[in-house]
Amino acid sequence: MQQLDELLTAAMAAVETADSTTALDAVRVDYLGKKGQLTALLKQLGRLDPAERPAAGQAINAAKQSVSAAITERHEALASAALAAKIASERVDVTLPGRSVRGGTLHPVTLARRRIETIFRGAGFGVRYGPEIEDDFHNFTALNIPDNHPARAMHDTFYFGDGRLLRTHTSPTQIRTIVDEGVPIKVICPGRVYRCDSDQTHTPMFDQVEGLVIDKDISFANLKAVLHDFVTQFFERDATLRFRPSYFPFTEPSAEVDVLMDDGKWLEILGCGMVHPNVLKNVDVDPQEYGGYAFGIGIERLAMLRYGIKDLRTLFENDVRFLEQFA
Amino acid sequence: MKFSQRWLESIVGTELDTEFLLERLTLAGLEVDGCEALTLDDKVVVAKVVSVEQHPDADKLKVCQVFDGTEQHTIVCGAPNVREGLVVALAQIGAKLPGGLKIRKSKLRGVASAGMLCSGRELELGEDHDGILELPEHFQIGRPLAEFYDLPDKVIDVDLTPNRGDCFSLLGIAREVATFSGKALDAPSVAAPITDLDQTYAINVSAADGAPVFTLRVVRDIDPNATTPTWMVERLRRSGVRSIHPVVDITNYVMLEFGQPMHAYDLEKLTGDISVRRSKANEMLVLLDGREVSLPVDTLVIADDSGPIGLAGIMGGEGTGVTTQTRHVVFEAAWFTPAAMAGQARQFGLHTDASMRFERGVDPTQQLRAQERAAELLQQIAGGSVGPVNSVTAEAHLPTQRSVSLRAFRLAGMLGVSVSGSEVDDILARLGLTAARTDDGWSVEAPAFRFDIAIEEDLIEEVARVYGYDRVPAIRARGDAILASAPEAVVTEDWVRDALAARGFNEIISYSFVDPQLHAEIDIAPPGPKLLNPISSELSVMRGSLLPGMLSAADYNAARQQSSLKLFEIGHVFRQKHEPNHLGLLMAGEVGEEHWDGAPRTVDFFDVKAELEVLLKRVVPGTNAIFEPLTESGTLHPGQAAQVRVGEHVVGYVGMLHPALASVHFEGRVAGVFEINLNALTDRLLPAALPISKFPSVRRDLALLVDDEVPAGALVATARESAGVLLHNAFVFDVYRGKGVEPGLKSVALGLILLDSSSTLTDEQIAATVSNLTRDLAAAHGAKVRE
Repeated sequence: MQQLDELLTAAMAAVETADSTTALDAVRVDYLGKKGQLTALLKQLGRLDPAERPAAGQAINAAKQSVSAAITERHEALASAALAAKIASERVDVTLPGRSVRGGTLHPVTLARRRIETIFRGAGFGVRYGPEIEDDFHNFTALNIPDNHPARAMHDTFYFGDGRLLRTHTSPTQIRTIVDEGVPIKVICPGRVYRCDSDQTHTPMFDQVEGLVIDKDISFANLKAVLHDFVTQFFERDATLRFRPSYFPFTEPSAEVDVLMDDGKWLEILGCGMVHPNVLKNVDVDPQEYGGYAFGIGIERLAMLRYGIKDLRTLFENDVRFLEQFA
Repeated sequence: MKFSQRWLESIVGTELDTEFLLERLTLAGLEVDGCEALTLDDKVVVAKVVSVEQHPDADKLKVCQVFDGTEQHTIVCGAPNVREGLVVALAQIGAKLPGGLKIRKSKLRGVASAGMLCSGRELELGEDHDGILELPEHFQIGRPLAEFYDLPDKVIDVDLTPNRGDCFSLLGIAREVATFSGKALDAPSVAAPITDLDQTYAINVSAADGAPVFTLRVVRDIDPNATTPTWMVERLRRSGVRSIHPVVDITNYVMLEFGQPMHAYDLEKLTGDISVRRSKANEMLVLLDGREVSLPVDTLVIADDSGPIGLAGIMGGEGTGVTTQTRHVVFEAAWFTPAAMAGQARQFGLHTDASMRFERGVDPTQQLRAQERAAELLQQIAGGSVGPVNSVTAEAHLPTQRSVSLRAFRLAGMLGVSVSGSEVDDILARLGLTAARTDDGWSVEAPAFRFDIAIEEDLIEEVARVYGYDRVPAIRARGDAILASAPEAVVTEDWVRDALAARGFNEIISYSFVDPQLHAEIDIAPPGPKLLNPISSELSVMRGSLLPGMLSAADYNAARQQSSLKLFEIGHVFRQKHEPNHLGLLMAGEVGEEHWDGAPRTVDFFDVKAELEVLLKRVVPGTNAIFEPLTESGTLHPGQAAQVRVGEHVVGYVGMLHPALASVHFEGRVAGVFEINLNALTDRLLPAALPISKFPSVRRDLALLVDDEVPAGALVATARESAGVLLHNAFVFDVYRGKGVEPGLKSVALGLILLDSSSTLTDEQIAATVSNLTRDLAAAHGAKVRE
């Protein structure tokens, strides 16, 4: 049995020194395989005295089990070392940027317009769009702005010379909507409008949202409530508004609305009023039965306030260094 | 309208707190545009020049002895008009001038000067800087100059809405102040001048519909050397009106005070009766501003025997105006109707103080009062003999007293608040409206100066204005909640925007009008209509394509070191009769960031096309969008451009910019664009889910040798047609030219995914499908399978 002890010692040493799973497999074959050295000892049992055989067999089997267990243990150790090495070799610098990091942006006027639409949609307003080249009737006459009325001079309109013009407000879309859909009506009309004005605080093209509600029993008090709620929601803070008497041919009473700023000053943000009876008559609505309110909001002004934009003109320069800030 | 607060106070009869006044005006609907404080340091005093000597060391300087009421000072002065005996404005040592200059003791070329003699401009009392201010003899030496100039004062600028012509005067503003203070206004008293002349000037009105009231008055023998007193010059100046001549200044003063425009003629330049008539053919007039205008027929004019001498209510003629030689004056005060005046000034490119007032509406009852006031002032300033007023009134054309009803239920309903009857009574009275109670409210008559009160809503507005908009509560309207429609098959603009932003594009907004020259560089679409009155020639034609705007944006950014761009825009483009909504996209320079793990590469056709395909997939089912080569364009690269067809309609284009165009834009970098009509793409089919096949799919790849001219798209289309229902998908996964492929040919590798939804495909089915397909590809395109 001295041979068995020597063999066991050698096998255990071979297991310990195997430095890969491949080497370990070779050790397994060498000692425990069909032609392995320990297996060979078992095969020699027949030559022993029958009385010694059971004890010798037990000893050999015990040795085989020891070697097998050592191999399994060594195998696990090698596999976990290999995994650790693989992980170590695959480490990356997580502070390096990912591929294609650049994101796109929406224009601040789009962002503000969407906020406005979302807020009013939530209160049941429909959203309607219309053409930018309009005719005299829809832009002026239907809105109680007769020929030569000073309000036409106020607008300073772009004309094409064939009776058509660039709309100066989105009110013509409201007129079209009443004609198409009738009353009661509750809509906002966002869109691009144009006036002959170009300086630090005016661009010849800008964006507006006009709102119109016509129904029975609509009051100036309702208008005040809807505008207060709107400004509060838009800026996400309770707004203090001031309604100042003003004049628009298409509303009466008319008001301009200022919002109280952090510096204690009032800033004009929109115009509004109760729809003038002549406007209703122009679209065949009986002003004794129906009434309502209308308002007009400059989107650029709200976008500038919301996003801290100082210069109106930057909105139309399309400088990507400006645009990329609106991610 | 600009006015002096001190002048307003003299009419209101009480001092006003400026902050309070501005607030009241604002809440009355007279928007305050500005408020400028005018002050003058008390150390600027009236002084007298005692003697003037030449400065020993400076040609242009004089050394003056000036008496300031207490002592005599040596003052060095460079003004050419400084002379002995002149009453001057002396800024003493320590005085701070309105411009910020502080007067210190100084030496000028060796002579000490104990102050400064000031020009009008230095004291901000005028524009004159040719010499020092020459003060009237009666200014008391030693007194602060401010006392004689009604200082300190505020110049308040209010922005009047077109409906409030009645506020276009100090009187009108004073009426508003009184209404809001709850105090009745005493109108300024006019002392009727002594009529010591019996000459009248004959009037002949043939256009009474346009001039229902026309009055003239003669004043003879005025002092031609009279000058306008300081107080009047200053009130005019603070209203933005320059002093010209005492007679002209008086007409302007009365206009500012009462809102009644007036005109003055030189009696000796008139020939025959003055008539108010419509112009005849080929009449001309030289206006006061020196411009000669030809009068369209039927223009309302003032004329004498020589022809037109003034544009009624707008501007007088040069030939009959008052000059420094004028001895005898004819004053005109008329009422021209707003209807007759509407748009008249504008057609001559004019916008005068008179026309603005007549267009908005002048009080038709105040012409005599204005005549009295003008004569009174003229007598005070320049003497003269005053004749009686000759007045022609056409009652038929005067506005009739309107009675407007105001119903209590309507007032409460429209405002959403109930105003008590007694408060309404009070408000109407304070507004100067005559109101009588009726069964359901009030019957109201408006005074002649209130042109804007014609219907019930006008009264509701007036009551609300005085009641206070701030006192109307905010009450949410009650109503049924109507659920919003949510059309799912419509692809919205905002979906497109989000998709492109998520893919790294920046949204731009460019002007809808563009430079016609830039537009002419583009042959993709013709420009839209031309503007009649553009802001500038660079913004004069409506865009027919989004491309000019995108090119401008690309150029703008390229000039600012932004070399790689991914831009898109959504907006209308303009045809002669309609305005489709387009989406445009531009990629320029490089795609991908400069990255540590790989280099960016130059944008190419397939980068741009990919962006379009992403959108088309949302709208166009399957493969119905067809890309057809576009080889005839000067805008797009003839070998790298396609028009996009959906069904019968060409809906857009995609391509790289033509090298010739790219070379002059965006600093010559490569750029690709697409533009698509969103109106043609908004409707999609709602997704209709099909069951997922339980059976495995099979892939077969075919490498096809075809002529280089054969489009890959045609191969795929034939494959789809040939394989029929078993073909789940067909795609090109390689295109190869070069070694192993004959020149003029190319190898196109097709991937075919075959699938049957009801059974596993057999080898026989697969073989049959592939063999049919090979045969059909050979027949249609001469394709050979490459072994």
